[in-house]
Order: sequence, then C-alpha cells, then structure tokens
Amino acid sequence: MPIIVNLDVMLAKRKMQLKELSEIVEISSVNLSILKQGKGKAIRFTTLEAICKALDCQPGDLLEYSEG
Amino acid sequence: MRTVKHFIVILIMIGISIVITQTMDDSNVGVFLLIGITGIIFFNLTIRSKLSMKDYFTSKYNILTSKYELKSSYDIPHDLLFDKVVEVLEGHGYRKVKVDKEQGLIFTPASISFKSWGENLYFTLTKIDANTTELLFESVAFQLYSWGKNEDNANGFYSKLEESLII
Repeated sequence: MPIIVNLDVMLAKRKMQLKELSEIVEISSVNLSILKQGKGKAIRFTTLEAICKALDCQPGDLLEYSEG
Repeated sequence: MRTVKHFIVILIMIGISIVITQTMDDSNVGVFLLIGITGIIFFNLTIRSKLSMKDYFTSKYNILTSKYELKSSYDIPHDLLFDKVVEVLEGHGYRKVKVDKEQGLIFTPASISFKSWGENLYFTLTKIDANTTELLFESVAFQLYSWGKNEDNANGFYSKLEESLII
C-alpha cells in the first residue's frame, strides 16, 4: 500500500508503549496494532485527532505517501 | 430466491406432517420418530457449547443440522486477526466466546430466535504466511433447514469485521 503508517516511529520517539497509547486514546490495542501494521481499511478523523493529541504530533508525522 | 426455497421447505414439512399423522393412526412408528428426532435435538442442544464437538456438528454426515461455510483470506497476521475476530464477537453481543489459540479455533453460540434453536458459529484461522491468514467461518443450526439464519450470521459477522477495520 502506498500509504505508510509511521505510528511505531512516533511511539518510539515519544518512548510510549502501544498499550499506554491505547489507554489514552481509548482504542483497543488490537485496533492500534492493525493500524500500526498498515492493515486497516481506513482511519477516522477522530482517531487521527486522538493519536495526534496523545503523541503531540501532526497527521503528516503518522502517515506518509510512498510511490514505491 | 430465498422465499421460493422457504416455500418449498414449508410444502415438504406439510407433507411430512401428513405422513406422520397417517402412520400414527396405524402404529406407533410416528410417535417413535418424533421422540427420536426430539431426543437428538435436545442432545445437540446439551452438548452444543463443547468446543471438542465441532467435528460432530460440522460433519456432512450429521443430517439433523444445517451447515453453511464461507472461506476468506485476510492480509493480516494470524495472531492479530485471531484477536480481532474475538474482539468483534465480544463487541457485538456474542457471549460465551470460547477460544483455542493453538488450533486457531473460535466458537460462540448464537441465541435462540423464532427462526431457529440457535446456531453454533465456528471460526478457524489458518496461517498462510507471515502476513496472510485464511478465515473459515462455519455456522451450524440444529435443524434440517436454517431459514436463512446461517447466511444471516455470515453476513452479519463479515459486515461487522469489515466495519471494525475502519479504525
């Protein structure tokens, strides 16, 4: 998929565990794992907003477009 | 198409009822037949929640259950899809979800409705490769004809699963 999810990169930068993020954004760790691995069908704006708020980042830090 | 199928089944049931009523006049064959079928239905209902009885219920030789299966492939690792399926089931009111992670098997009973005595839903996950998993969905109703309940279970589950992948 040309859209790459950099959630793992942002989690590492913020030194945060997936489980911790899951508790903050109130999204199950299964869903966050699916999102992290780029296996989700789509992402809601509300989810993006919650993750950006929790990780203090921009949507562009989480999502990246790559033609390869 | 489904309505035509239901109509044919109703005609067959009326036919069987007439035959049973006529044989009951002559002998006790009809009574024994009814007691036998009722006994098997109650036996099935008693052991329905045992995960080890999956092969018995899904066997093609078990003619007193109606079965439906659907196979699909997901671009999601085995363990992650396993947890996802359990989460979807528990999040949508399915109680008593039983799992056997080693065998990649998930079981949950669907509740009784006016259409059926309830169904057993089995999910078997098979690892194809590191990122691909095959999901086999099986719905078993404890009656000769499911009145579309098995298909409804499949459609309901798959739409919930697809919906849950929008995060």
